[in-house]
Amino acid sequence: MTDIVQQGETTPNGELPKDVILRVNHLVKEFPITRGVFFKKQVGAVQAVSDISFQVKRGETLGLVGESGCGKSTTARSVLRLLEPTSGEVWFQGANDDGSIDAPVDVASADREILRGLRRELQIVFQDPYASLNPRMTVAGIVAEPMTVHEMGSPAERLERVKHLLEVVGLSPEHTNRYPHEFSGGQRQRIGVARALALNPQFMVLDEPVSALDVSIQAQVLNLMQDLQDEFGLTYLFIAHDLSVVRHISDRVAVMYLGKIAEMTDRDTLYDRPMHPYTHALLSAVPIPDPTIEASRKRIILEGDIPSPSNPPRGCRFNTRCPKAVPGKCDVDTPPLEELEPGHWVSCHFPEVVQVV
Amino acid sequence: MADPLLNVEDLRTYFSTEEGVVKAVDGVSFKVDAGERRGVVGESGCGKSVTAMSIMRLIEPPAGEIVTGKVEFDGRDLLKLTEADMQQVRGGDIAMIFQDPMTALNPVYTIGDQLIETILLHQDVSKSEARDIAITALDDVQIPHAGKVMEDYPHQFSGGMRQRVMIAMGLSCEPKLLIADEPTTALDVTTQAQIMNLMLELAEQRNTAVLLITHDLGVVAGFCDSIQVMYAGSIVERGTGDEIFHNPQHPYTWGLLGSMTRLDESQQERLNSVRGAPPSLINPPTGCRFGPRCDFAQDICREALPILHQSQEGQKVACHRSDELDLKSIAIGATS
Amino acid sequence: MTERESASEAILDVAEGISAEPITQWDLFVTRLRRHRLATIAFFYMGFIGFVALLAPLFTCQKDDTFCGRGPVEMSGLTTVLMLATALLVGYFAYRSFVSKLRGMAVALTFVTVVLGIFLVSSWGLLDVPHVNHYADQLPDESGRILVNIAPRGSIPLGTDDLGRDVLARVIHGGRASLAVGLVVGALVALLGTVIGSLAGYYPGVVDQSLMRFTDLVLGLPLLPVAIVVGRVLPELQFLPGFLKQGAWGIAVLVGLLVWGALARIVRAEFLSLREKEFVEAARAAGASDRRIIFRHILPNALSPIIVQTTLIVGTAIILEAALSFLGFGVRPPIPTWGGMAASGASIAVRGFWWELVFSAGALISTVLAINFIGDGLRDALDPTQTIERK
Repeated sequence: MTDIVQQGETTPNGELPKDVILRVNHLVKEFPITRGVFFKKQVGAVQAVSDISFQVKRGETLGLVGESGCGKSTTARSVLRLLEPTSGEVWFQGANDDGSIDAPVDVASADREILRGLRRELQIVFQDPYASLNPRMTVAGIVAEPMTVHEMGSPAERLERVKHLLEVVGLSPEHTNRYPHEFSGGQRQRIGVARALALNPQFMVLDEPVSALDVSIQAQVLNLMQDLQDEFGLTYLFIAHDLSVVRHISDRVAVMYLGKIAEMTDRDTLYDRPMHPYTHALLSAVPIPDPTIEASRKRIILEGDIPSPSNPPRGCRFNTRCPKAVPGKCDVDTPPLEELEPGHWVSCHFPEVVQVV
Repeated sequence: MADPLLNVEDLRTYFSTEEGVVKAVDGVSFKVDAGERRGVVGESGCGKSVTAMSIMRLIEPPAGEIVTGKVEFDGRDLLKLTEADMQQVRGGDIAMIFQDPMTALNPVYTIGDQLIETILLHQDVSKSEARDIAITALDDVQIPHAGKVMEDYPHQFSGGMRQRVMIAMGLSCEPKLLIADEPTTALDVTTQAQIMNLMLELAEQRNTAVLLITHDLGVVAGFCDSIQVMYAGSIVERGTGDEIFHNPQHPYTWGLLGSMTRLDESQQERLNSVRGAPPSLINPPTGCRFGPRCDFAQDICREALPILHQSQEGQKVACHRSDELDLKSIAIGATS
Repeated sequence: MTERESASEAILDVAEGISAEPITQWDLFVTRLRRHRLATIAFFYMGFIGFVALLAPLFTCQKDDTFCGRGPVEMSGLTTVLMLATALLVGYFAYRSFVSKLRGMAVALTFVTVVLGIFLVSSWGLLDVPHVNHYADQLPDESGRILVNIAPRGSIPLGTDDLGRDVLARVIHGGRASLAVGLVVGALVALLGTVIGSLAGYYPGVVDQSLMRFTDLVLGLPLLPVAIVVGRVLPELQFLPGFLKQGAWGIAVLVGLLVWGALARIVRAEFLSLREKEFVEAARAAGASDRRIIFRHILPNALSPIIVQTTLIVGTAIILEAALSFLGFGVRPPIPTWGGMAASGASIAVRGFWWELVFSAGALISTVLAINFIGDGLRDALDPTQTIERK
């Protein structure tokens, strides 16, 4: 993998390595702050995602972690164009059943028709199993909706597929005429997964799919997601705030802070040899269910709160809370995301391997 | 041994709904000593929060009712106190902090007003003394510029800061017991670390007993001396952190630990999940409540409700087969 | 563990949690509505009022737009009882048809009862027999004198007014005006409010701004003065079709055009919050068009507030019509309306003839109360936050 690609400097003639399914280049998403009733005047902007680039390889799971307000969900929604990106490119390179690779398409600039086609390949599973299912529709209607929209098959065929999908996600196919309120949180999440699978997508965003669930149910859904990945060859972008879940499911992990990627590398490197001070703090803050280990751990307790994204700090975004921040450097220069070891990208002026876990 | 600070005996709290009576807490007994930090863990609907609310007598009739039981605190049965006496206990001897610091503070009053009001309610001091106590309390929870912050309104605060204010409010009257109901669930993980750290420091300093209610086994591991695991309205296992985490005797505890993803383990394989979902509390299964989900259930488990008893390993466990099962040898990811 | 096993274990947990019969939204709605005692009674009452008003020409005579207590159907004590009994039955079945699982059956029963009732009442009233007492709009006594301001008594249960007209007959006919206003306003408000509110809520920016400013404008109009002015000139307008110039219809349309703003605002707010919901995002992620999202995903979820708010607006509209008629700018006499009767009743009530005022105002108040109770009941029954939990 070339570093140019990772940093998203250029996209050489629309060509991507064959094993890349998605590449995000310089993605920016701003939410305008407006004043006025009749004539809206933009008085500022919240830069929720500020110039990030990454890529996802076919069949892998990229974990995107960070605390609330770091822009991870906005990134995911911009990638799927559920939100209009302010600028940047999102190249999707689909594969066909025979193994041939399609030419990459820029999701961010695709017109309505192309986007409609892309919707078949890019799907999403939402966080809240209660809000993500239309309470006025039956399970059959919900799961069949993407197929109905794309006019796939006859109604009878769609119902057959719904039943099949319900079975795939571990629900009884007899419950097609039930309403979402009859199901528990874990079951609802399975319905959401079935809906996402309906169009046979290649790429799925999992937006905190288990954070609203109880631990034992969490494990069931995580297992299901892994099984589905194996069975259908899916690629996941897994959004989460829980670092232990991310460690379990991801092949690579990107840590976000205030709209920027702080550190990105493969899973074990991130947990065993993290280099960014924010990653250190984040990892050390996650409790481990073992009193012996907990007693011997040293916590890095951060000062203060996450700054507002509408007014991010100058220089390194983390400098206001960073225990290692050097005045005159970190609060002035924005550190670039650099590949310090093969495949290990860090955005810090003073990177250092610290074992925290 | 001295009398326990809190002694809950056979507590039963039921809620009547359209479909029937929900036995949210069904026969819970435990003791908490002065200065002890007790964790109450379990999944949603297991009755852990209702237990706390029952201790504080915050169950609202007619929907909910404490049917039987005894809640002895410092030698007094709280369930027999008048409402006026109980108000003195709440926020005075027993403080409670909630999951959502956003709603627990009144948005139209300043932080200072709310702190001073609480202090005046429970302590015989003048208003200016109360103000000093409030500022000290804010200092204690490491809120910078405490004097200035007194004039701020809750919306000016972040979630973590609000939770600090709640802790300051809770501890301002020097309670003997602090009940913390999911205090960090709504917070980010770095903020959670700050808050748990703070609570640990303050509790140790003042020898305050803490009843920490949470679904997060990780939070409990670093904070509590002893842990009780609840399932479907009753305690299924109780022991020290070491016993619970390293040698769980109840199949539910064991399954719960196996379900957890861990930061320090790079698990490639599937999680050892507990199958199924928690039972209805209106028509709980006969016999062991966990029976239908248990991999080790036998006939006896379907017939008789197991009671909490001393296991060979040291902790208390409510399982018919705990002594014959050797969960340790089959645990996947349950031991480190 | 294999995929197959994990699937079967989950199927097990479905089997544990879920009842044999699907519980539909309707079932939940009905269960919650039944809990609302007042709304139940109100439904019942409105079914009764509706029936009586609908069949008013049968029970009362009508000549030159005036009404009396003698219709093609003789209003003897027994017919009155029969009519009331039938109406009550209709009310009951109307309610049943609303809340019952066997809706088809209940609707059929309602129909049968209505037909049977009409048959019974009319056969008793001897439709084919000359109407001996059917003189005019006034009730003469045995000696042929016109009986004005007669207090309620056996054959004239609600008395007569200052022109000797039967108050019961006029109250019954007055109900037609009120119900017509209610229906027309309801339809108009539901249509305008929903369309404008949903467009404004779904398309932020120019569409939202212009529609909502227009709504503000309409809401800002002083209701009564505008209604008085327009109500005054309504009959003079040449281009209007005849039915709008007189009677309740014109007033109903006028009121409807004035009061939809509140609903539009509510629908907009509802759309604003629903369009951010994850299930709407899911529909968007599936590639659904705006039209599909609005009609299939958002609107069905906004129906509850639309129904509730429309019901409450209907109550207000009936009051408004009554107020206009009371002031003399609404439905013109001699067409009876509750508001108009209350006005004329008020003028004679000071002389001690209280019945016209009391019964017309009573009918108005009880009807509006019933509508508001229904609104309350619907609000509770349709409120998704009151979902009956499975556990």
